[in-house]
Amino acid sequence: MTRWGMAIDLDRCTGCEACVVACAAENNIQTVGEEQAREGRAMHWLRIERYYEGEFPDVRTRFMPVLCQQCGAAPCEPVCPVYATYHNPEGLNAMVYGRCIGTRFCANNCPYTVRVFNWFDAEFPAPLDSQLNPDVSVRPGGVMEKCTFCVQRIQAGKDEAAQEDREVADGDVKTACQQSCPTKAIAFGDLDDPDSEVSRWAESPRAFSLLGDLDTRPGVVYLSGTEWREPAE
Amino acid sequence: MSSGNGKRGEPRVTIGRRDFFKVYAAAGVAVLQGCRRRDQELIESPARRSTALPGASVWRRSICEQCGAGCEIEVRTVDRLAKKIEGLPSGFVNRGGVCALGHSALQELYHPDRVTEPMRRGSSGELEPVSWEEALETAATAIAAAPDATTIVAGAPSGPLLGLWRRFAATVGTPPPVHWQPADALVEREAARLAFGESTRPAYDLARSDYVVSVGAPLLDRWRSPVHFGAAWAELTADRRGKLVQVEARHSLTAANADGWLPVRPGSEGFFARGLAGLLLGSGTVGQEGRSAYEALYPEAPPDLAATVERCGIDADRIERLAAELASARRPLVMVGGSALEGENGVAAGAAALALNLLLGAVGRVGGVFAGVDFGFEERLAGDATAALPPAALADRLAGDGDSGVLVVSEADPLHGVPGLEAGFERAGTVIACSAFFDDTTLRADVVLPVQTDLERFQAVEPDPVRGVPALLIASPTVAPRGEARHPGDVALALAAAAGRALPWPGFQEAVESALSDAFTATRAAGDDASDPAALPASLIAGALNARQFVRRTTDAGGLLGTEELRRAPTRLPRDGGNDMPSVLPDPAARAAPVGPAGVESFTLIPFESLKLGDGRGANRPWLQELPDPLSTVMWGTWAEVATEDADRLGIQTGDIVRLTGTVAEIELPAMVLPTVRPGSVGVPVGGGHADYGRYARGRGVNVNALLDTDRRVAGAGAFARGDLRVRVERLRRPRRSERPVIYGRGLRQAEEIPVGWAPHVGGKA
Repeated sequence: MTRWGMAIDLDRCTGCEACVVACAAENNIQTVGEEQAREGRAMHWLRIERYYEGEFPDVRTRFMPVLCQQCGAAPCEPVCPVYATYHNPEGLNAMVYGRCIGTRFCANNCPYTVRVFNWFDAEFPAPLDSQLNPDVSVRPGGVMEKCTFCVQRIQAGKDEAAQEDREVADGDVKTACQQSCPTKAIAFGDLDDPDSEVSRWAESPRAFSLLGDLDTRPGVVYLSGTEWREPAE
Repeated sequence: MSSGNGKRGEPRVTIGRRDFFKVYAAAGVAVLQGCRRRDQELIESPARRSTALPGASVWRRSICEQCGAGCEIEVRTVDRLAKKIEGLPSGFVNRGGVCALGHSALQELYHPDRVTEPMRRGSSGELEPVSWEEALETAATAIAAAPDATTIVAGAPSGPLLGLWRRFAATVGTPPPVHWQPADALVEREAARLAFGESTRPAYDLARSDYVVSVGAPLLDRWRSPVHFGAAWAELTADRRGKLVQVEARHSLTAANADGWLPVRPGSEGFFARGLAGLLLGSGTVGQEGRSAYEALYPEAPPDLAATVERCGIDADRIERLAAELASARRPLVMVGGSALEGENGVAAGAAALALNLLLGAVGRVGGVFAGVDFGFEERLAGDATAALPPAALADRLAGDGDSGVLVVSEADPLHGVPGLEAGFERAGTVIACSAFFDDTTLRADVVLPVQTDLERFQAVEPDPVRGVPALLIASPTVAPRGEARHPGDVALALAAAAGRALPWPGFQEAVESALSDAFTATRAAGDDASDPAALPASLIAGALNARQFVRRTTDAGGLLGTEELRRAPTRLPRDGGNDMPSVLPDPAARAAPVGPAGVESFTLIPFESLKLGDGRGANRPWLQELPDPLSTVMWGTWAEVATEDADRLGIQTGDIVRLTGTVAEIELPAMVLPTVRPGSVGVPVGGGHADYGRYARGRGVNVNALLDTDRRVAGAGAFARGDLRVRVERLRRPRRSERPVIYGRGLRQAEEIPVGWAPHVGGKA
């Protein structure tokens, strides 16, 4: 069985945010506008966190893309009263939008704060809606959403492999963030395949899990050659 | 079948039995074939249609023209609508990457407030829709009436489209067009001309260097090609093989990612480069050839370490360490760009930094600096038309109190870039804007000619020579144009025709094809003579039988791609005595004092292009407006970056509204107090404060360009100087609710009680 996973090489990430826009374009993520964004309601599924190291003039800024970690032991899953978020057999924390009743318990329980809530219906003034990806539903107001590891691309990869009567090969499925990254800082694939690129990255001595001591068993692995310090604040 | 035996003039046709059967059989086959065609049509036509099935994805190659980098992209279209942009993995410049601005081209294409029909200012003073014929006639009549008094402003990057505007100007009889381009691009070219003898932006072999000193070049921000340089930086620093050291006053994204950051005093970059040269010359590690090449350009002794420390504000040990590491590197490289070139002494500073490559022997070697070469398609379309003018020429054209004549502005927004030109625009008789949006300039227009955006048009682009390998990229339209929008090149040709001075081509595509055809002919005629400037490298036409076939083959292949063999060093280096430049370079130390108010509240202003909005082009896309700036985390607006130390002194907190007062104007905006800002400087992103430009940009943020004094120029480059400007910073008030900067607050560090630490990955499985 495939276990989808991602590895992000922080030594290659420049914080250019191409991935953030690629994600929005691929997944029909709404922009909420200045007023709602001021209230902390921006809907990004992927964010670039910024950390400082040292003090001026020996200061350095580090960046870390943070998205749903697709935890193996996901704190968000057991608290959903309607099973709108569940663990799929391939390691994804999947969302059934139609089931979600908007309790937001899942977001409350997510240590990575990667879940975002649709406070209002999405608006895509015509003809901006011409760009919407037909493979991804536009979520209505009152529904929670988050990174899906581009599940529609996973499905497309499986369909194509099935048509050609073969297994999904490593590299067949690329997430939108991975595909656009100028520095190729993201690997995606099957963590259960020891030969996959993502598995090889995950075996690196530079690999670590975000908030690993929470034992959420994330499906996202970070790589960094530098020991990260706790933020100064 | 036979004929004969009839009366004269009346051929008699007789059909024998055998003939009858032949005809019958043939007719039967024809009938059957006809049936088969119909059957096939019914059965196979859905799969054989030129367009895809409803709902199916079709990927089309295109070229991103959001900046001049020339990234090749693939556009996913479904039902003839563009859905997603991806980098073409084989892309000449980008190798599969796309930046944030590139992705957002879709929102430019499908923007709800696009101009999609020609408009003309009516008797009521409002812009009203008119037909193309009416709009062109009005525009052409104004131009034809006073070609001498017509000023063309072309925003296209260097390449065929700019060449066409030059040809337009020469044919219609107007002065050469003003090429509206980033100031540092112009200054970089002039600095390269002084140091290397070639007036092109140099190519830097970053990926194969092992030690790169970037003097102000924001290579990971919004600069020449963030995608190319991002990938090259990743190669440079992979496995800690090489190092990047950023010498820049502002903590840009490049400084943030560099292995070392030297926050020099703004405006002292050129002096720093000279000081560094002094240490290198004194280190004994510089080769004799490099030493003589450098000393020929700078006969004066460089400043000593103490002077460099004093002028640049960097500790001596950091400068010495940099010089020692640079001297011991196998393939050192020095780049220059961005804010280092934007002061009045920008050219001298740029030349001083580039000349370090001569000293280090980095010119023309692997991991060094190369000439920025191209195939010359701008010139090929321009013919013998005069070269385009630099942006500052527009201010000169608009100077005085008289009528500014006719202004034709194509794909540029000079009134946002330099608001000080507004009075000149108001005095213009007719303003003609070729634009897709009501930007600040188009708002002033009397005639608006709607143009197509990247994905709607035939594209012929010469990419920024970041690789040092020439290329001409060509792509067909990806989607149908919206409304009545036309290709800007076609608009130029239609304008010329309406003015009674038609150019020899019906459209831009034909113009490019004609240039390709001429290039083939010239190359064939030149034979082995590689010195003919009109000839292409012979290998590019190999196998083509004639010009027509060459043109077809080139357009089908998506352009002409040079090979690594065409990469070369600048051929007219000063040491070769092969150019007409002054033999001694200007001294970057001879710099006028920064202008503006003095005193404790006086700060050096550093305007910069954020990767969100660029020069302002990105401001009309909701994706980019709502994108948190990676350094300040601000969304939807403009902010002033203030150092923690200065903020404490002036009592400024993040969010406070501050007033920046310069020599010609003042602006008010929220402050972001950041620990990474050099004390005494204040950084403000350009790109905000549009008068219109669609609903997402209108009135959003503040235009820092308002502080720009149009009389201040970069010496020798014809560019407006936006560096070296001092502003007074005053705290005004705590922000009202609607004034608060929109700060992206989400993140792990906001989550109290959560241990923010790192644990080794253990490959956990559910």
